Amino acid sequence: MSQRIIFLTVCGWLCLSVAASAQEAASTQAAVPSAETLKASVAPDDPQGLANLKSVVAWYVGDGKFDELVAYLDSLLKKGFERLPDVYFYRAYARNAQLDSWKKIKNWEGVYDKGPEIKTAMEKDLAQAEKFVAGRPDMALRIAFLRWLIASQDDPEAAAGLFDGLVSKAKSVPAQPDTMALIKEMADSLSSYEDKNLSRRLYEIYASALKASGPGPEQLKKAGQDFVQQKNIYLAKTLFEGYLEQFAGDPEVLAKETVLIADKFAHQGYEEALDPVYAESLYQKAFDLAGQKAFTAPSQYSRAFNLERMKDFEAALKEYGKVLSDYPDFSAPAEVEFRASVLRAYAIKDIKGASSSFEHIKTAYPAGRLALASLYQLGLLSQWEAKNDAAKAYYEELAASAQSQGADMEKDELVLLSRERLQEIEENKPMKYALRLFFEGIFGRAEDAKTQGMSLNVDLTGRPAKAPVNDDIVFTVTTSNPVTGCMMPAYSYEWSGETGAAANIPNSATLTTSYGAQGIKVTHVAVVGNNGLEGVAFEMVQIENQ
Amino acid sequence: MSNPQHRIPAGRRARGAGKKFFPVLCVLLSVVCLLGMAPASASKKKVFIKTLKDGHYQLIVAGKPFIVKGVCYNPIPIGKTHDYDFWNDPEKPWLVDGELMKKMGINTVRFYQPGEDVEAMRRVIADLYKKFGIRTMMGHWLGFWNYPAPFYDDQDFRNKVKTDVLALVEALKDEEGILFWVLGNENNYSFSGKINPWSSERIDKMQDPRQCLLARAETYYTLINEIAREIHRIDPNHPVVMGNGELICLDVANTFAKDVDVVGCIIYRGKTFGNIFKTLKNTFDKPLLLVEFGADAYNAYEKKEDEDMQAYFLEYQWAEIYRNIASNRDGVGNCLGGVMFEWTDEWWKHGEWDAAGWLVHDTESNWSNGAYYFDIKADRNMNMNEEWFGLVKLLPGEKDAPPGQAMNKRVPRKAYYAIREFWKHPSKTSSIKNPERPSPAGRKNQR
Repeated sequence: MSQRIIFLTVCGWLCLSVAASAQEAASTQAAVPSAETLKASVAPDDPQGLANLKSVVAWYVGDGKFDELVAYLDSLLKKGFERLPDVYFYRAYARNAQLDSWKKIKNWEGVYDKGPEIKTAMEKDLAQAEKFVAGRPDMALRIAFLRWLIASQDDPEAAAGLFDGLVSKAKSVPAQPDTMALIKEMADSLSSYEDKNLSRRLYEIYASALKASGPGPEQLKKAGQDFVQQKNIYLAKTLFEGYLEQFAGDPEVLAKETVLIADKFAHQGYEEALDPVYAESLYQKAFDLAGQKAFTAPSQYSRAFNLERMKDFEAALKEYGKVLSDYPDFSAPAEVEFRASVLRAYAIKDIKGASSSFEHIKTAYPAGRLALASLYQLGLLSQWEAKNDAAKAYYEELAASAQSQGADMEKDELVLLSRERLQEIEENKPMKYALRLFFEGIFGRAEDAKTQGMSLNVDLTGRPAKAPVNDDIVFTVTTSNPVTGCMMPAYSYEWSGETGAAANIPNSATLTTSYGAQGIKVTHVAVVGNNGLEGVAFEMVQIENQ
Repeated sequence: MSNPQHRIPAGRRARGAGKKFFPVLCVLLSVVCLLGMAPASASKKKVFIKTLKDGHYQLIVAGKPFIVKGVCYNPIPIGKTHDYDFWNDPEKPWLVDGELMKKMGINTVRFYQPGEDVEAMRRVIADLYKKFGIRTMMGHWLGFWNYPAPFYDDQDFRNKVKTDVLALVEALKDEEGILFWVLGNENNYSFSGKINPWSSERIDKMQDPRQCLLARAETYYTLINEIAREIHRIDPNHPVVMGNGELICLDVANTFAKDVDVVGCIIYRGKTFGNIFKTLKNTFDKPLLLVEFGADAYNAYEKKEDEDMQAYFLEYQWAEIYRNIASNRDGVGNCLGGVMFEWTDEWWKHGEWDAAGWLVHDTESNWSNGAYYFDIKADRNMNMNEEWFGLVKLLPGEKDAPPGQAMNKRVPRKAYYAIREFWKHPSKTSSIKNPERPSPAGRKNQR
């Protein structure tokens, strides 16, 4: 994998552009010149001649003819090209590409036995190339990049210095579009590297040049948006921040614009967020600037939802509260209230407060699915507190409401679940095992010390968090495992709550399911190990009609 | 360690005094010979740990400093499982492996558990040592995989384990290739009750989980100590290593397992061993040998073999080991070397109950470890592929080949060459290695 990336790192700003131009030529049905034709028109003092040389190099490299390429370049040195840096550079490049090709086919003997000798030759060529780079900033940058790339393989200290050199060179070259494009391509090729600082340093130069070229704020915003599409988060952030600078004199406008940018990075539910932590930092910054005035109702909801997905339940509850208190016109108050009630019940463990909110939902929105969901939650909380009469009344009310809403009484999950609970109450049985474990894990039982000392942090995440009816949702449990080396503790996963249409609920950490009716579904899991209950978690996913 | 061979009986000297001159002279000459020669031959044979003036620990083998450049060796062929008697493998894979190991620079192999055929074991140990100069660390599970459970709090069980280990030591102690005895392998992970749980009525009565854990630790470490003492008595030439998972409960071992010579840690912390060297120095000040560490060569996120990833982690790990060996001023100086997990892939490990699976190189992960971060975004974070830890991979041998030609082909991975180069030039690369590795946790990781 890394070989491929390293290969592209070099080829990205060399061969691919050549291949692209070749393809372009082919697509326009122009005759693609042969390598021999191109060779005949290679010239040291003519831009087209140099472009031809680049194409010849690409032909050889594309065919894996590295030794032949080196021989061809050697022959050029005898034909008046001895002061052309490109020849030496391409010779080093060819050798590096040869090493890369060996890595690709896992010819490790070649890489490790012949590599040192090849590297010495490359270093000599690059030193020679460097003597002739006056007036060729692009070549100076390419040489610096290749030097760093070679050193980064086995001499990190030298590589660090060489990268500094590359950055200095990149800063000092004239900010022409072609050199800036080259710098961005280099940064792109480094963006998948472990050390993000490498690409960032080059992106910074590119972004500074872009900003210095005097684009209008809208152009910066558009460029930022383009980078969001490309999922180039760093550059998107940099340009959006540049865009926001224009509003520095007006805190309220700045705050509002900041929130709009934050929305782009926050969880929205349908796909994974670009950077939810960054989004929250922007929301907070906006709030600090202008208070609640910075937020529209949808943005305030986004902030709360983003926090919920980040599992910062307490903060999410607070922000959902603001949606309800500050934005009476928000389009989906029942959803907000339901989410807040679930968080109050199972994250804050405030049964009384949660019950009161669920009561309000069923009264305020009696015709909606969330009224049924609230009745089920009220039943559960009452049953847990051994208020069986109240629980029974809620479950019966749920059945009646479902019927009046036209639900399919033989298939509706909430109806079926409430029937199960009613039967437990009528037969004077405890809640179903998995459900009981979840409630014990959340609220604990004084007489059962084991549930007080759960040792695992359990995370339950459903993906996507918002989906159409009947689409797959995958719930995944991750646990903060104790250190046990390669021996994983054997856990059983007890799923409960709304588990949807999955025919068989697996005793495993993943549950794939779908839901036949819209609404916010509350799903639970309890993780049980050798020592008993180890941890519990819950999750909400939102199902919407097509 | 005391060494009874080096003592001269005092009573014998007293009995010689004041009698006839010639016999006295003979006795004296004998004593001089004993003093002059015996220690020399013994020291040549003896493996021991020297404490240097600066408090660093150095392993001395055959009179010279020795850095353990080891590999765990469990040559189970494709299609066989853990109970395969490789000691009697007619293909003699250790001859091919020994040659490859020698070329790489490996000087030690670690066997987890002895076989049943002592002569076969002697042959393998001798072949590895005499043909390739590779020494053997001989391990023992201490009944950890006993069914239904290892009853370390049961005296009969303890006696049985002790008898088994001492019989092993007695049988192999004179083999030239022996380097260490290794007691246990991550058995301490069972103390919490989450892994391979064991207990006793006495321990169960404690109820408090922490007290139970400490009681199990004490029970186990006292057994280790009893065995270590007995080994020292019958074999003073080879140190005893305790195979411990991470540093867990070594504070308890500090009290109850004082007689082990070396702490052997099994560590999977990715790129760095972190504070392990310093922490051990301050909690249980014994020489440290990393008896199992490494990285797998399968990227569970990208779902393909990833030799770069394995080599990358191993290079960092070795760089840190070398920083902490004796005489390196940059480190703690308590590390004797390391033993990589492992020499070859083992195809039986996933779904070991299914014989058909032994013929398949499974790619399903068996465990999760965030320190190996390149593929941690695999489903459910399950990124460690137990069948893919080999420095060399196995390919099936010729079908229906006659004995002697049916051995699985060995194909060295990148890590084989990378570590070979590291060992050739450790000073060049013992700082941070290859920091600019492309990270697969890039764009594709956005779910």
